Amino acid sequence: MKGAGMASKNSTKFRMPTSENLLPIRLDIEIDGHRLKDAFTWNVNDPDSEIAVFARRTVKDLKYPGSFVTPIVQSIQSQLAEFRSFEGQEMNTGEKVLPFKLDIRVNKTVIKDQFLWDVNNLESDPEEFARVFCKDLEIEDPEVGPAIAVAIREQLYEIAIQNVTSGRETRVSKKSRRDRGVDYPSTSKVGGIALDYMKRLGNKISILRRRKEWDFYEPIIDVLSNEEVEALDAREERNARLKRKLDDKDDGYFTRYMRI
Amino acid sequence: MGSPLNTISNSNRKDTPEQPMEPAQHLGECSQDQLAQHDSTPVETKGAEPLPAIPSSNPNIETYTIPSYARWFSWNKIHETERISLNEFFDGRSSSKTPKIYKEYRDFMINKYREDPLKRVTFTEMRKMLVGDVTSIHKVFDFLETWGLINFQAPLDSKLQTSTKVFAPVVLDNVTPNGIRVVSPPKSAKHTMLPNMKGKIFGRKVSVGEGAALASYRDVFNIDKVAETTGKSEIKSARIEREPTTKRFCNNCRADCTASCFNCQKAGFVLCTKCFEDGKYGLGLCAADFKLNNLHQESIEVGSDGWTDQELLLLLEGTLLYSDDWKSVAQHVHTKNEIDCIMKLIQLPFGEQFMVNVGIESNDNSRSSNLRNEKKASDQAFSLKDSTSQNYQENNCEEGTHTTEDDVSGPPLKRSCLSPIADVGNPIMGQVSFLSTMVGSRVAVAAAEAAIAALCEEDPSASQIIHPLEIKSLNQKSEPSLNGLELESTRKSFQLECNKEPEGSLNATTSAGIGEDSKGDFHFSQKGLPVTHLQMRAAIATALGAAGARAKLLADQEERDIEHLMSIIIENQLKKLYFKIGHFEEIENIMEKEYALMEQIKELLLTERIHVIRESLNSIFRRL
Repeated sequence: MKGAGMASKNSTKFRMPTSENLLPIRLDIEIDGHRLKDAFTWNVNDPDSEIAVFARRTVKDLKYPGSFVTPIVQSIQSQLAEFRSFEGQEMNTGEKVLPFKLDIRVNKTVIKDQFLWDVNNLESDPEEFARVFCKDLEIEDPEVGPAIAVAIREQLYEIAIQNVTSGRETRVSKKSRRDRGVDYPSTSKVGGIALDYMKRLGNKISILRRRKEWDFYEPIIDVLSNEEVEALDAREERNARLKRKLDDKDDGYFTRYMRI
Repeated sequence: MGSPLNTISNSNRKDTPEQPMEPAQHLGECSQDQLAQHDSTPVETKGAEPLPAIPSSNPNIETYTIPSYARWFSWNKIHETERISLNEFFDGRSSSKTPKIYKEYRDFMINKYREDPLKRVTFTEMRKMLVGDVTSIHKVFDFLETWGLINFQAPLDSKLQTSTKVFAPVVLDNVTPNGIRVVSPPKSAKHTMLPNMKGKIFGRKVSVGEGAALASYRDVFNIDKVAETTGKSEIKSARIEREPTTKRFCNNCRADCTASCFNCQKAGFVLCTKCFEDGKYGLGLCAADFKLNNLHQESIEVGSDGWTDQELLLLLEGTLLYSDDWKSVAQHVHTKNEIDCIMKLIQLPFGEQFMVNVGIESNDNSRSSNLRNEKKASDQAFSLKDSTSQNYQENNCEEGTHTTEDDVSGPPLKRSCLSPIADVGNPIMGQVSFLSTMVGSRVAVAAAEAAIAALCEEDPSASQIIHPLEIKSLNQKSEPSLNGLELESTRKSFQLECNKEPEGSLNATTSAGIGEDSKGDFHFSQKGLPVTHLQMRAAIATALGAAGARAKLLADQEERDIEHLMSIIIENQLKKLYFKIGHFEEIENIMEKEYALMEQIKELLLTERIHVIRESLNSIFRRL
């Protein structure tokens, strides 16, 4: 049965293409040898006063020096502002199925996964996906679920930004692209992409994935030992420091001043 | 019709999957009026309202259980419930979400579940097998689960299924980063766990075959291995598998006598050697009843592939004796066949040397005997020279190099001062000869061989020069004559040196060299293969080089001699002069003394004269 009619090209105002308009926020602040690395979702509809409250509480909970509060607030605010700058614009909402990758490490658990996600589905729910993921794979660490959700949201955010008025060229910061490591197709062939995945020989559509790809799309979870965790942490810190140095050299000017 | 179903669908969405009974209540009540007809597939239904079981007329049809509220389900149709709950597939807004695709998803999932109704299928498993947006697949999955079409009979408690569950978390044994395999040194019977191969190995143990790593001395010689219970190793097929050994305990003293024990067939008794010797047979058994069971004696000493020390020894001997002839080697080692021999030899840490040595030389026996000679007579200069001269007789053109090196190194003890031969025609040869004087002869021989091998590898024409066996050349007749001339000249130069050179040892070597030269002629014809131009040139060049070196040495010697003699002469002359001067001085002294005497005499004479004249005057005066 062929699809009845073309996919509609609805446009809506820019927002996170999820059922809840939550923005993924990533913090990576280092002061006086203390390093705060965190990722969470923020409701864009919350009043701005909440940011300071949240920052203060976080610092108090983690027992970090008070000098952390301001950078946290600033970081959150800047990311929010970035989001808001896109808000007035239109974006496409035809179906667009893209491959998503998960490659995250949360405490002791390392997760690698691949799946397809419809980035224009306004009712998608990364949290639900993460919840089912953890339940199915019996992951005990409660921090994993939110991490997965944030990772998915970040990728969605990236794509949404690119979706917006595709004529303009916004320069996505190298930082975030490096972090996510996802490659997005620049054309937005509405609806066609999903079918491409399903195509087999002779243009026959099958929803069944090729068997050899099963392993590829299967989530891989590893639980690390303590030493390995420490080793990876040290390595990441080193990398992050290097990256920061590079970024300061290359990107600073662009990300701060060239974003129109 | 709309509202109850609507409520159902709504509650479907918001209810958690653990509460499937709520909609059941709803549906149970309205099942009577609204349901579609029974589907054609015979299913037993049970649920809130037990319905009479449908007798299956056909015993081949499998029956699955679904709840009564899912009665509407039909393989061939898509029900309203589905249409409403999963409207995105039906409103035509996306070409990848069509009713057909929905049906495929649904059918696949249900079939997958029905492969094993007692096993819970998870969404994650499903989504890896299906192409499409995970959100919509998840919706379908949720829908089916809520309606009991999936996971209905599977226990909720997932702990029951940990053994069958595919995604058991992998616990890493070794602390290694991803992508790097750490292979422990192979101990053939030991199983190691491969760390973190992309999650493929879920807690299974995989053994690392010995073939994966290099064989080490320990493994090959099996030094501290004891007979193990699982004596198998996954190595090449030619290896002999050890029979699995079982532990045996002496009935008397409960000592471990797996190695050698005395078996009594009658009573099934096992005694260790000690007890047997002590006579503790027990139970009225006599010595005759016991049979020595030395099965496992060998296995203790046996290597991982069944090679005892004895066999190894035989193998090595055999290789030395019949280098390339594997049949004889195998015969020599009675218990092993050819392939085994070869493989074992390759695995030995030094086995290659034997193979290489064996392969290169044409006259292998003499080579091996040569080696042996060299080993035995390392401190005897004569036998050493014998071997080197043997060398000469075997190889034609290698001699040149050998001559230079070995001649110079022949009597290393007698030359106390060695200076680098800087002015030789070929400076490289000079360096080589100098170096060879520094090291022992054996080393020099080995180095020469290695150099030749390298040369052969690099330059195929070089191998023509050095291995005359493989070559057929053109000018057969002219060359020997040319060679003869050259040899003559070299021989002459050697003879000259012989005459000048007082040292006897060099004589011996030069004579050996001459011997080589003279035999060279014969050698050409003996071998039956003519010598190429290049060979000639090489031979001549080396001979001339050697002669030049020698000449230079001798010239230096002569000069020193001359200087020495000169100094002697000069000394003598000086001595002569000294004597002469002394002599003259003496004479002078004498002369002076004589002169003084003469003066005295003169005076005397004068006085006498005066006296005489006075007397004569006096006499005259008296006469007057």
